[in-house]
Amino acid sequence: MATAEAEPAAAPAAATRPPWTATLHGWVVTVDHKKLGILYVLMAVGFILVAGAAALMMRLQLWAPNLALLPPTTFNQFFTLHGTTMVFFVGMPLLIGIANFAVPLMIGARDMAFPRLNAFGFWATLFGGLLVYFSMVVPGGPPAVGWFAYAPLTENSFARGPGVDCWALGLIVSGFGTTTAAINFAVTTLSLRCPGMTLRKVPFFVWVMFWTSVQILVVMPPLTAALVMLEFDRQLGAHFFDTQAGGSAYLWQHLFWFFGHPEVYILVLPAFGMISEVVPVFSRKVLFGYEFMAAATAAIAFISLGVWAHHMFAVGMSRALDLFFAAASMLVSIPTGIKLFNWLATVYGGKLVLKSPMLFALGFLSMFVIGGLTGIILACAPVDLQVTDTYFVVGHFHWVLIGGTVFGIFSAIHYWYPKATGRMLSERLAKWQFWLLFLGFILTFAPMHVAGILGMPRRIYTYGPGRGWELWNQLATLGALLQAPSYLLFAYNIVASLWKGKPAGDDPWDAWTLEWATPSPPPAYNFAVVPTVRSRRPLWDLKHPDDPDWKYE
Amino acid sequence: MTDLSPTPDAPEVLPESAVAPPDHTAGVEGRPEPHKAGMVCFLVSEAAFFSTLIMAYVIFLRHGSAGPTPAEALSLPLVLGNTACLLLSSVTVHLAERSLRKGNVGTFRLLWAATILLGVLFLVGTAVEWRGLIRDHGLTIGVNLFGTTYYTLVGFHAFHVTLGVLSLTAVLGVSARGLLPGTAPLPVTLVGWYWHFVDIVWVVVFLVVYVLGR
Amino acid sequence: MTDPAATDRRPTIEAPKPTVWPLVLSLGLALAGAGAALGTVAFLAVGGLFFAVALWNWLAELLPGRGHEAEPIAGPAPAPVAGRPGTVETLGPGMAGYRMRLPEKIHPISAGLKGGLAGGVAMPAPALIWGVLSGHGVWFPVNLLAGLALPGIDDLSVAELEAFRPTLFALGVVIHATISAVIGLVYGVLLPTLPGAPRWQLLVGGVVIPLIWTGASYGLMGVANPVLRHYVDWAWFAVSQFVFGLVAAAVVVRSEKVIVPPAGTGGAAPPPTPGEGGRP
Repeated sequence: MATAEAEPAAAPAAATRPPWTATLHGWVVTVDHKKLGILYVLMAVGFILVAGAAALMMRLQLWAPNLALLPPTTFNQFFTLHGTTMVFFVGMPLLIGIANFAVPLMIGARDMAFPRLNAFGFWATLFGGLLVYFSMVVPGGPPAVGWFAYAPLTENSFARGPGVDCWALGLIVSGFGTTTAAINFAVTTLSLRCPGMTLRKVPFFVWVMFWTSVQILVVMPPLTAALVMLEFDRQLGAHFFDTQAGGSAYLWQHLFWFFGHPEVYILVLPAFGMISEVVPVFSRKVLFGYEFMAAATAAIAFISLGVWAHHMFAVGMSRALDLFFAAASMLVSIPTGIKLFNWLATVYGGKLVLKSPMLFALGFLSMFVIGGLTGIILACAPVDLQVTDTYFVVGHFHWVLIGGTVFGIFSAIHYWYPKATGRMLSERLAKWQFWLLFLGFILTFAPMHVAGILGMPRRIYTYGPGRGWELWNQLATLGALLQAPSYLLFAYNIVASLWKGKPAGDDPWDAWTLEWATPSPPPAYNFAVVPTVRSRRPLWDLKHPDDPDWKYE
Repeated sequence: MTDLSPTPDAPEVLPESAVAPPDHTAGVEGRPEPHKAGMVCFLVSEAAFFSTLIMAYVIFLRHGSAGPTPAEALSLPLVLGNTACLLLSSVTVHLAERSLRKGNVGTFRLLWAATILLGVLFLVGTAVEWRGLIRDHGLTIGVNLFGTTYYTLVGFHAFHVTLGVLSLTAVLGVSARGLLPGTAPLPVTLVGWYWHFVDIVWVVVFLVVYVLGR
Repeated sequence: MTDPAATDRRPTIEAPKPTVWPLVLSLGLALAGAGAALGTVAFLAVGGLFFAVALWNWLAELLPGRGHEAEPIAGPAPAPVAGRPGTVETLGPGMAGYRMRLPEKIHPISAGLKGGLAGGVAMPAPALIWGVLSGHGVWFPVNLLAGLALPGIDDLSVAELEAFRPTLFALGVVIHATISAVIGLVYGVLLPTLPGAPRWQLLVGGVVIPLIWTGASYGLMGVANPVLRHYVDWAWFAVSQFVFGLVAAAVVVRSEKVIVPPAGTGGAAPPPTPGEGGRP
């Protein structure tokens, strides 16, 4: 058993290799944060291929007016599954998985605070996702309600089959997993930091994960409550969102977006943290303005709890509410701007190492700004009223989620893959992947902004000719076709490099945080001796004893 | 065998006394105890959950269409008894913990069992109340918005009381088998916190549903 | 375990045993969910059973001595992190790539505050003169300013706006003092960073910034304070901004400069050592 534990499945073929059943069993029953982190990532890669294929089909359907590649209902089911999967079973699991791997190592801990709960978090997310996909085989098929599932479309009168039930219950189950993961991160960060690592000295990614966890703890339960209400409506005949019996569709929107908007920050804050680890190492400089970055993170976590109704300007709330939520939404741009300028200041004057993690980080820095700027445009209620529910919105949030979250995630995976497996990823494939993704992503989502301004509503399965939308849709579809191989290249790269990759060594990037002081891959116990640190960059202190950081912090 | 082999130039990074702590979660002095911190985080998420249900109740409070209203259906005497049970149980669970800390295991078990009994009484009281509501007032979850929100809110609270009773019973069982070491074992503290939390939620539910909202 | 005898002699770390129960628990939840969705009792029953069995066994693992095992320290040891003394080259003044330009002496923060308040005292003069000359009286500009924070002012007639109104007066004074102090602080920080002689600082503080401010106000006042925009005479508005700017800038420029060590030098003397420096 211990051998199966210590021997990662990825290890090169050795004479004493255990049978594959033992290896598999070891992974299934594991409570090791590193293995669970890898499982999270693998699960998300599986889901990203499925949901990406759905996106590709939708783009092909929109290639030209009045195509009949996908029937309308199937199209609706595809965008529902695509959105739900990308948010709950790709975005969050990737971020939580990477953090699961990295956080305990970065703070000098042997594992997460609650290893069994950690395993539960993974399995609940996986089975929750499978429950959502179980709707593929139930009568009526998957839900066709969009990822934010506006009431009363989700009520029995409009969604008759059990698809919506599978969706809601799957999200409840995976929500349990996410909540327990958040508890685990918060407690691990608070309680298990190694000696000397005060909260002001944690690596920035850890700090960000702490605040992400706080957000999850506050906003995930309201989503669970809303989903429970929905299920009570559907299963027990309650009337929460049943407008015909006095229920309120408006309440669903408030409850969903009270979760849904912080969720956007839950998806992007960890990417901020990953970038904040990669950018300094590959600029060969210390992170600029750590304290300001830390305060900005907390500010984003708080402000993001008060901006949700900017998704609802078109509902017709009231002038006061519109003003409040527009102003609060714009307020977020201040701490976000602080972060951006700090990253730029870190890069500025640095000795840049343009390896794949840094490429993706630079992609993040350039693209996230654009997504942020269109976000400010959308935060203006009058503009939002014009472009709400158009492809402008679709372009905007994909720009943030791919330009921000996905680039951050790829940066982090390319950064920590050598630590997790002991092998380097192929730099050549990574560069191909980056450029295909970068160009394909711009080509897909930039035209969507134009189509949106020209009035193309989102979620339509086709459109009539002569509205001036054809060109933009064709560009977007070409972009999607350009992007698609980059994800396949990535999936191939992470598998093939297990065998073909160059041995990484303990510290391939000459980095400064504690995880690079362990072997690659780290043993089950991480640290034979729990280290003691004196600064935010303990390995810098060791490498440069004549000019250690702790003199300046 | 060390990880960060200290170089002679940087002796300050690893103290010579650095010894592998035996447990994987062995922390550093002065840090929060993980299980307690975890319970606090869990209760934060529970509070967010109940806040949502309470908010839904308040929003729909005056939106009654047909069917019984809170003023017609809810009666105070039984609920006051229920509330007394739950409040008293908070006292007994606190006293139980204190007697255990003083090393008085017998009193602890007695008071702990009393807490369980009070919790069960509360659940029985709720069941009686619901039977009355359904039989005498025809109030079900599907009748009107009051029924919808009332049964959801009070039901979820009762569900949490049930979980609490089960946890209390589990701790009592473990204690009876002599597997609770020390004078302040974690399960006792944590289940005690959870129980207090459930009580506080009830106080809010009671005020909102039976006092202010009636 | 390769060789029990060998491992036994090694130090061990207590770690939680691998366990299947978290998996079974979540599988139970998902099965029960599928049962609820389909209304199938069998799924519910199996899911509930899985859940109960997993919970029971999980709790049993929490009992002392059940769920943990001794993990031998057996893996490869990490390569020691070698010190590379002397590889950090600190950028200093005069070296290529050195960009830090910190003024050795700067105006104290209090100078900005003083300047702002002095400007704030001087500024009302042109505003009040305008009020008298335009025939509206001295209270008119004060009430208009208060409209910045009080939306209800739209409903007041011109006659009402010309009268003394205590709340509007108090509000106007607070707004005026706050903005004056904040702008003064900005002056205190900004002006010393301008290169060249003090007269350039006076030019920027007394003319350029008031012009920008007036332009921005002209553009934004329609949103922030429509009433003020409707009644105000922009020439006089600009004059009062110039008065403020000149007075505030003059106070800041004339204040005594002090030596403030830059952050990160540990309070040492100014010689700028960019502590967290890049390596060559």
